[in-house]
Parts: sequence; structure tokens; C-alpha cells
Amino acid sequence: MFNIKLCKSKGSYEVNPKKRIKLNLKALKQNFETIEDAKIFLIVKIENCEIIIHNYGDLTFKDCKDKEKIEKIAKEIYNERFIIA
Amino acid sequence: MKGLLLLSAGIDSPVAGYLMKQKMDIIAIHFDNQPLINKLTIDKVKKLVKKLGIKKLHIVPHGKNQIEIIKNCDRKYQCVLCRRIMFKIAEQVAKKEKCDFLITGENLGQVASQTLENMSVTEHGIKIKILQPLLCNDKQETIDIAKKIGTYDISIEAGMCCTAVPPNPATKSKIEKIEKEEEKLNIDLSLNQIISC
Repeated sequence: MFNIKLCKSKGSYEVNPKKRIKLNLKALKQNFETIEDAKIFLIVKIENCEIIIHNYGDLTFKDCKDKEKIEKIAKEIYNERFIIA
Repeated sequence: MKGLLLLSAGIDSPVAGYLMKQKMDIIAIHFDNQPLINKLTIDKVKKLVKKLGIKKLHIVPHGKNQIEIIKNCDRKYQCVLCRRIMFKIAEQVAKKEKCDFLITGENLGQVASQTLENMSVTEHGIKIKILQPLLCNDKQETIDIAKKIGTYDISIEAGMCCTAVPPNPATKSKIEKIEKEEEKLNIDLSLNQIISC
């Protein structure tokens, strides 16, 4: 469903869906604690992790290094109720 | 004479600072993109300041400015708009600190915001003299200096890419267009928010 890898600068983990998707940021904002809404992405906090959620599907976990936790949270975000297309 | 170095956590600006420090007193300013990035960048900047022997660092919260640009402006102008805000604030800090120059690590053609056209637009309206000691450097030259002065290893430590960078940044913007985009912004250019250390 998705890949987890270190970002180019190696300071954060990125999650990329295997197929391009469009995320419903409005619905995600209603469901998760939102720190910033930049219209094309959100910065949310889930289980003490700050995550940048892009409307085209990519996620950036700012500080979380626990890959199991990243996978768990990514699955929550990629729930079909948050996917437009 | 005294200069204000616009310092990022990258390879170039620390080298620019080192070169100009041979000629004048230097203080530094860093534009902090949190929450768009994590704190690794600011940690690197503080290490660089220490390595370069720079006595004063001003930190400007810049993440909200970036978000304001993202929400209101044409994405392709993100970097030019971002840099114009940085230069406007830096000019004020330079005036307050009695600096004669701004110093940057700009290198012609290295990234989209550093073409001749974009640099000209970025600096439009800025009155203080801007020194760019690396402008025509080959990247390898800059890396060699960075290694020699001990900043390279800090600059390449793990960091986080700037989320604000657009997929297709403009390489040849025009000031008339940029000023029109700036009218859409509500940005605090005052120095009230700055942290000095």
C-alpha cells in the first residue's frame, strides 16, 4: 500500500503511497489535532508525532523514528474515508 | 566594518561567512522554518555559529510566513517571495545592529531562486549592500573550503527538507508580478518576534 523511507536529507521519515491518491484534508483536519493548515498540506499531531500530510498523499513524520508506529499511523491516515481519489 | 550573514544549515552560507569574516566582523541571522521542518536544522545552525566563531545569532520564526505564502500566492513564486521577506527583515536587523552589509552564500544557477533574474527581483528595494562571495564559485570549490574549515560535516548532518519548496519554481520572475503577489500577503515584518542568542 505504501513505502516508508528516510527523506533525502535523512532527518525524517517519508511515507509514499504506491499509487497516487488524493487525500481529503478537510476530513483529516476534523479527525486529528491540527497544528497548521496550509490548504495543500496539514501539519497534524497523532500519538505525539507531528506529521505533514500532503493532499497528494505523501506523509512526512518530522521526528518519529519508530517505523512500526509510522506504519500504524499511516494506515489510519490512508483510511478510505480520507481518500477522495 | 560589520556584516550580517544570512545563515542556513547548508554548505554555502557558512563558507560565505568564513570568507567575509577574514575581512570584517560578522553576526548571523537564521530564518527558522519550523513547524514546516523539525529542529535538526536549527541545531545545525547553532553548531555552525560556534564553529565559525560568530558571537551573535538572530533567529527569525519564518514557518508561518512560508505558510502564508503557500496559502495565498502562486506556488511557483514561493522561493522568491520567501527570500524577499528574509532580505527585508535582515535589512532591518542589519540597520539595528549597525551592519554595513548583508552576506549570503548565493551561487549563480545552483537553485531556481538563484538565477540572475530571480536574484535581481529578490534584492529589488533592498538598500543595504549585499555581498555574495560565492556567486561564481564552482560547487566543488565551496565544498573544499567547507571541509577545510570544518563546517562541511555539520552541514551534511541529517536534516529535513523544506516542505515549502514548490515542484516547479519560477526561474525568471518579474518584479511587477512579485509585487502583485505580495499584495495578497499579511506578514509581520517587524523585529518583535526575533530571538537573539
